[in-house]
Amino acid sequence: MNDNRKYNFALRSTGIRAEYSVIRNWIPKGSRVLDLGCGDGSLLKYLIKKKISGEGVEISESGVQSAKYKKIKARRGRADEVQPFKDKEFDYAICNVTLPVLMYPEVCMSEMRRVSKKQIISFSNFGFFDNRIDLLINGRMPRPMLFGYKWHTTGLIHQLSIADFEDYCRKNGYKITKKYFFIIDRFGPIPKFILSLFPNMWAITGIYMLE
Amino acid sequence: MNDNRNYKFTANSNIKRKEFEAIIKIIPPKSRVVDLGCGDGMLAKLLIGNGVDCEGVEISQSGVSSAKRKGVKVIKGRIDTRFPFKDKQFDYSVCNVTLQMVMFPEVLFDEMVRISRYQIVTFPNFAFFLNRIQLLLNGKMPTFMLFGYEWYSTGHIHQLSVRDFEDFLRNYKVRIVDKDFIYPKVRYGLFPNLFSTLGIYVTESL
Repeated sequence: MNDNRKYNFALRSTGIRAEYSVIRNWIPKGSRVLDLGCGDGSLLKYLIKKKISGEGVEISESGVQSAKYKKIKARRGRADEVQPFKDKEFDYAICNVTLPVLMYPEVCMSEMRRVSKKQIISFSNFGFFDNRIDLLINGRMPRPMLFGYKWHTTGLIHQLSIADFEDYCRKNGYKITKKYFFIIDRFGPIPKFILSLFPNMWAITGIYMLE
Repeated sequence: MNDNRNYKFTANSNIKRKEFEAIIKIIPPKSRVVDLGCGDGMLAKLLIGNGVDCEGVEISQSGVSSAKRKGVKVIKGRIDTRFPFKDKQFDYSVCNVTLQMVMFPEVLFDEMVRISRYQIVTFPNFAFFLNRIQLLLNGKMPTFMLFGYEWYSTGHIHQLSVRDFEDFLRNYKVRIVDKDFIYPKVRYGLFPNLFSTLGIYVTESL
């Protein structure tokens, strides 16, 4: 079983990631969502406050348990295979910071497109400036986006940059309708605006809405 | 099932790779060898032809079938897991351009150190200068070491550089016996982490 290096969630695991509020802002009240790679279910729980209901698919048993503990409907399974849902059964399919940990990212994306009207995908940006420098100067598989893991222990097995993602969407007929970038906070407030003009260089995470 | 994106070998597949020659030179006749991730069994067959006692482990059914057709003894299975082999059962364990394709590279190498006296590992060098330039200037996942695949379709899920590998070896009780590098177009080169496309390392368990 491909476990993407074994996520182990505590039963009462909670945590709010920076992407959550962006995602909640994008989804209208009362929508039905599918969260692929839902982890401990914390995003789905966060969405309930806006009367957004849904369910999750998660590969780790600990994640499924933790989601159920939160009264979130979750099923154990891979995010990168054919899903047992009808065409356009959901308003939104979400894949939050999970695309690069999948063996078949393109299957995940095409299934999201099939089962939902709109898709929300986020990922850490391999094209981030510090990554480029680590490979250029140090000659290593870049470490800044591995968040403490090493080249061999990371679950990020198909890393991609913002440019890679936009290329892929263009070539495969996915229409990007919204995007949001978390830009590195490094040089003070004014240059941040300038940095945001070059997201592939300065964004740590990108969030996209597709149709 | 982690299939490293489904290798499909034809029954008569006989792919000869550049580094075979280097590996064959290292291993003396009559050695007991296991080729981990042996693919279609071509390297094993060449080693057997050299009087080496070689078997293989391979995850793809097509690879296993193709290797068996060549008369190579193969076990079907993952290579980043505990093997059904005894400690130091082999003189050499070989892992040819496969370390970067497994989910648990550190388990694979730990097992290689356990089951054999010498280990031969080869891998594409992620820090090859064209890779560096591609990430620097285009800001994309470099594709030079992906041999025609793209960021999402590659089985190279844990890419590494020469420098990454030397650091990795420090986690094990091994010494580097020999290392060799393949450079594009020329036989000998300098600055392997910058200019080589493939690293070949021979290590010995201490």
